[in-house]
Amino acid sequence: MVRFKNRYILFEIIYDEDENNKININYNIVLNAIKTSIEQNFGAYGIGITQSSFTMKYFSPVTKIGILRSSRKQFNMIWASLTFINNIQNNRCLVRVLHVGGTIKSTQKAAIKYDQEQLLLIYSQLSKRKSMNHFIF
Amino acid sequence: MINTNKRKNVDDKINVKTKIALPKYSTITVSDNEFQYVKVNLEFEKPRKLSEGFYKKAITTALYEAFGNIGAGLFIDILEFDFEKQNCLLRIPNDNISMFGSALTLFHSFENNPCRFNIIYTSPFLISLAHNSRFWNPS
Repeated sequence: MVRFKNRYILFEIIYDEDENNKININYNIVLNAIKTSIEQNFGAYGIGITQSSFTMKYFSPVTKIGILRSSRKQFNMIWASLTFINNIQNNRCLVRVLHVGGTIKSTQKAAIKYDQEQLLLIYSQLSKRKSMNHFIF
Repeated sequence: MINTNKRKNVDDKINVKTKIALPKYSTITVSDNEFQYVKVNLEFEKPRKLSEGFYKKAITTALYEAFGNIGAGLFIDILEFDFEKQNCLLRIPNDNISMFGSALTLFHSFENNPCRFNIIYTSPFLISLAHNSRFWNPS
């Protein structure tokens, strides 16, 4: 008997519009969008075959990062339908897969690392802007 | 893919009689055909006849409902269409034949009219569909 193995997909949602007008999305809306995309691209068969092990383990509306769990056989199918998502509630967007891991721990580590990088990037941009302002005034 | 496998008579040199009795023969094995030819019939609960375009649409709808965009993108060609009998001869790549078969079986209504697909005959060779003794009509 072999253990049932999973794949954990770390993904990020990128919006077309300005980040300033806050778009209200939550766990359920994103999960619904993914399932709709699976049904559009792989039909009733796709929904049925992926449903058994498909769950969203984590989603943060602030950083727009989430973790999906799927079985190893079907994770390619889910990845494909993630790529085909182009709008959530009539807001144009795209989904980028950042990391694919075998355990939730490694995926969590990748998420934290990515968040830190993003924070540092924002921080450096801010400090640059501050120095520019200082120069002008 | 065609494999020809020629066999020689082992007892060539033994005597002339066996040579005459057992002529040289060869076997041909044909496998991995590219296409499958399927004869399909569409039957409605209330009698209704579809044109060739709508017939193809019914097949595509069946595939879309079962397998989504992936299914709707299969290469399916209509080779022959019979409007009166609502029969159709299709050519399908051999890799997708199971997808096609299950999608047609699951199909149950077209534009809110209950219907079904009957698969009459499938074959990897077109010649066996063209000349089939089972469909021979003496009249």
